[in-house]
Amino acid sequence: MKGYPLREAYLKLGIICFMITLILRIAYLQIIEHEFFKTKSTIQLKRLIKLYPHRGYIFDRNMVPLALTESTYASFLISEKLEPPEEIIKTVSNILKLDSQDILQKLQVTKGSFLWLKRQLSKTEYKQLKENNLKHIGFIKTEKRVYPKGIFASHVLGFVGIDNQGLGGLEHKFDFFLRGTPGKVILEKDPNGYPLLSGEKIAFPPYDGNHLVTTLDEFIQYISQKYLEEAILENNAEKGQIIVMNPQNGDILAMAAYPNFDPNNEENMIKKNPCISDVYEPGSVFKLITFAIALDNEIITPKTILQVPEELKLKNVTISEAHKRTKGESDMKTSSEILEQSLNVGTSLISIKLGEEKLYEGIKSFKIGELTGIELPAESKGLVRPLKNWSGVDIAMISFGQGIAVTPIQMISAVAAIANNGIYVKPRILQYMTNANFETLKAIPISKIRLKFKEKTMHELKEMMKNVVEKGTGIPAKVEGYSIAGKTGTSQKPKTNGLGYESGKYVASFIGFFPVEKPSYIILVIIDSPKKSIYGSMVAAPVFKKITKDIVQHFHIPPENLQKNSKIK
Amino acid sequence: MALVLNIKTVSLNQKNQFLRKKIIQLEDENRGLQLEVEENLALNHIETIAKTQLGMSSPITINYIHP
Repeated sequence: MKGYPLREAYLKLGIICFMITLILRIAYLQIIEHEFFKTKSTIQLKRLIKLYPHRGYIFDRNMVPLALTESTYASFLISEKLEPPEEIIKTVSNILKLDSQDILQKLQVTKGSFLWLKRQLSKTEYKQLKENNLKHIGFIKTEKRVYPKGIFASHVLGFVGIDNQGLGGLEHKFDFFLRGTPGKVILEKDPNGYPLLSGEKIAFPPYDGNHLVTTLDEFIQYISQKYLEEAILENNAEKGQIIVMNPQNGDILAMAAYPNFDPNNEENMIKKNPCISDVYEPGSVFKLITFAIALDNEIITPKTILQVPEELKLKNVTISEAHKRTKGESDMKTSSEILEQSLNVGTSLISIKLGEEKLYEGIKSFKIGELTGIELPAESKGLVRPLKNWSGVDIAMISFGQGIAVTPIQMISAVAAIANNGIYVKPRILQYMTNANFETLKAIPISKIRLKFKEKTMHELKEMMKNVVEKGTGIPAKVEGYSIAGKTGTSQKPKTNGLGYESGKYVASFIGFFPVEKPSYIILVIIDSPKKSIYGSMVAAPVFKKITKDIVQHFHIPPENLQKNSKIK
Repeated sequence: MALVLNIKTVSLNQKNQFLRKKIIQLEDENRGLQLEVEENLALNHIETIAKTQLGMSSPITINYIHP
């Protein structure tokens, strides 16, 4: 060793340098990169298990489930190669009815080793894939929204996306309440990834979504949808809507629209609810609003006699009636007869006597042109042009429901205020919300507003509406033994560009309520573009009658004369 | 003694885990059955069976007899 002092010194220096480097490296890892490696070790040591909450259910007013959730599986393909064995792809595409070329293409495009095959497998698909015991195919447990009654109230319930996020109707509006809060469990694991029994375990439980209890009645919704579809097919119409409401508390008992869709089926989803989003010109049904305003302003009484010609020329427009008069028929009509026979000219004359300002103010006081505030998304305001934009002929046109656009929900809410003797009740589709254990969280209050109309006015108008069904255009809606008030409507359909009306296209409608004294049901039937007959009395009133008959039978409502006799006894 | 307790703990833990899995499985099954019940109780389903399989028809009129 003595002969090599320089070598010894170099060796020592080398060792010292190495030691210094080692110390510096350790210091770097332990002090400077401390946080990074701490996090990394936590990730490696701990296993995070996500706990998904169950989406809340939607019920009808009698707790009949309308939207539920079902456990299901999502399948994925995991492969290190871009082209996994052909046999697997073939089997998978056969079971899931997917295009094998498409699967391969997707793998190549994403250049990844992971590919979702199908997110919500049906029971049969899952069983078949499992039975085949395919390599490279994995499953993740997930949840699927199911609507057990298919097309039932689909426009109201809406639908969800692939990740169960609400995309329409109540599902969208109350998504935040329905979806719940996910939870998680953090476990310590061994190097093989298995949880350590003695290890630390932190659990954050998931909170299941809240349930919604709607105001819908399963039976009334069912018959409404059934009779609506029948009427549409029978009259070769394009579309239609029916709303059934309790005018006392604003509860929507049924809200049906056709064409409908099955929210269980991803295809052909209809994203809007025409009962609240679509507007239409209400036609003669709107005469009820004009008459209410005229009666309240004491322009007319039900017995006021007016001379009503068959035609009325206003500026460059000729207003005429839908039906020709019979020979020898008098042109002297009482206000009640004008409504019974749904005379456009008579209503125009009354509105002219009333004046533009009073008519406009009256329409606004019925909350036409305003949102009703129903608990559904995408409600439309309708279209009531400001008074300054009215042309000379608008006063007459609007008086019989042309040149004004309303939503079905606005129309039924306004007429419900007449049924309610001047009390406007905000329509509601949701009764209350409960937590996952069915404890009530929030009840939707009944909101009533007294309109600036005399009670006497409403009583008079209700009697006039009763006559419409007893001896006027509404006879086809009459149900023997029950007092029914109603009004028919046949309106021209405006062109989509807003310039004029479509030739030969009409909207037939009927609105009615019963029993007249204290109504429990108000029904609006709208049939758009019927081809067999175009009149509300022929197309929509019979639908009202069918629904009414089924309601009185189902809910055991005896005829009114029997009720009165029972009271006397 | 400690060893016996440890073994017992492990065995109970395993049993606990197994039962939890069983609960989840039964809950899923219950959900599936609830769904099946609701599908069968759908009014259109009942009406179709009543009319096509049981030979029933819709009531035309109801006669109320005064007491």
